[in-house]
Amino acid sequence: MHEWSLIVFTLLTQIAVGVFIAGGMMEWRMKSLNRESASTSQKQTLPVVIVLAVVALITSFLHLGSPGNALHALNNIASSWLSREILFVSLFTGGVIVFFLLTLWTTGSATFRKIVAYITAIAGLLAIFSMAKVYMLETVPVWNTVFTPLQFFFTSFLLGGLVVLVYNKNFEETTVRLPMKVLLVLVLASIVLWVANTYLVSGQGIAAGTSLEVLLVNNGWLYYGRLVLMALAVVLMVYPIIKRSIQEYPGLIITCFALLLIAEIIGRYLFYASYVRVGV
Amino acid sequence: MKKQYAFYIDTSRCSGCKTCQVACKDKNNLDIGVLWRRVYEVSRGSWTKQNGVWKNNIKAYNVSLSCNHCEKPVCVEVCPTGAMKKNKNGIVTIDEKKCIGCNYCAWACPYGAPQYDEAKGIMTKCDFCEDYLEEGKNPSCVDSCPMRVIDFGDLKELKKKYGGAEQLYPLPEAHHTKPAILIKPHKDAVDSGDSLAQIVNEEEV
Repeated sequence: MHEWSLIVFTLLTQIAVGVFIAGGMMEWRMKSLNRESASTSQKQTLPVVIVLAVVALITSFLHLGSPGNALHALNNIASSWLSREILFVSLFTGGVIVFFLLTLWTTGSATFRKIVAYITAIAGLLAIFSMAKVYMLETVPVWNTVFTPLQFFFTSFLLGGLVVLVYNKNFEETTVRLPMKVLLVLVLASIVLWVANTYLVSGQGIAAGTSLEVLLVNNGWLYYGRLVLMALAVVLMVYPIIKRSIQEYPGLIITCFALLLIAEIIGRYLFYASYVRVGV
Repeated sequence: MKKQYAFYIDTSRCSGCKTCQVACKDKNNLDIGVLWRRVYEVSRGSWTKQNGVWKNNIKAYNVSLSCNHCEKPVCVEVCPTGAMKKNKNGIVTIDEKKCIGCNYCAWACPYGAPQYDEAKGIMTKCDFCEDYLEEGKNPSCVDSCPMRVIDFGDLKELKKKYGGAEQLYPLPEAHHTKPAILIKPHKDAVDSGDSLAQIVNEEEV
């Protein structure tokens, strides 16, 4: 499957949700440490979220044969996870734009802003969940595992979290230690998941077997290349954590983000490439 | 009583001539690459030399397949626009005014029924020649088959008349979508999950 528009759409939407939620979590962290609010970095990351979400939405239209009928895509929320995904992605995108505008109007009600933020965050999480369910078709064994939703959420929080750390490079070392450790755990979990998925799928019939062949034989160098990139990212994250010098090497976080972004693009490409259906 | 139109395919007599495939393309003016009915040539086994004598364990047969207008149609379930619907005759139809050509139905259908029409930008598939049915005529594929392999009618009546199977290789297991189809298995027919059988005319389907 050469679904470049879907690779871009799913990755950008997931990263956008991740940046938004990670930004919110950074707010919590600052408050819990009684530090100054993270709102200045929020003002910088929110436009990033909006740009990512809007570009993603436009890209998704490129995937349609008849984009003119696009509004009909919300008709079947009753049974179609694709309909639901479109609903929640739209709610999330609208919510971020409204929230951003509210942060610019500093005289507005802080409680109302908070409510909008929470609704937007929940919409974002439901968007990623719906996206995963779209792919969990009974007739496509390689996609119909718990790996699909887990990987989508990991992509979101990992890349989103790294973007927020890049924008927070002037924060104190102790502020970013815990987030960095959480991200390290996520990368390690991603590595385990990437390998475990092949075990989840093996022995599940002819279609699953062909999918595995596509992953491990036809695209072996991409499959293992992704592992290498993630392992490199682990090394680059462990070192500054141990040396307590995360903020001394801002280039390190950007490099980690680049490595993991490439790893995620490879992963998403292989996700679509490994599509094999039962039957004909 | 709810009607469920269904096809009956006698694979024990299908010669793989593909007249049904061509008749369907002709009647519906289908573009190159759009196949509402497909004929799968199945092959399994090989020749071995034993004590100077060549022996074979070859199994071969053909299956003509269009849309099975399933009783649990996954295409209807997943279609975001509701363009894909099952009507009162049990026939699954596509509303061209709503379809956005996203291909989700094609990803899901284990029978390869929904086909993307590049020129129209939407999904298309077998409609059981419903316009012919309304005139009291038979579907194009049924009438065109020189071996009289394809029959059709209400699923319950077909079951009484013929009995038969709901699955065989290369079709998937029937529990996924509950296809409204009856198949008379060829003597060489193998199970859906058979890992040694192959479709040997991929370029034609």
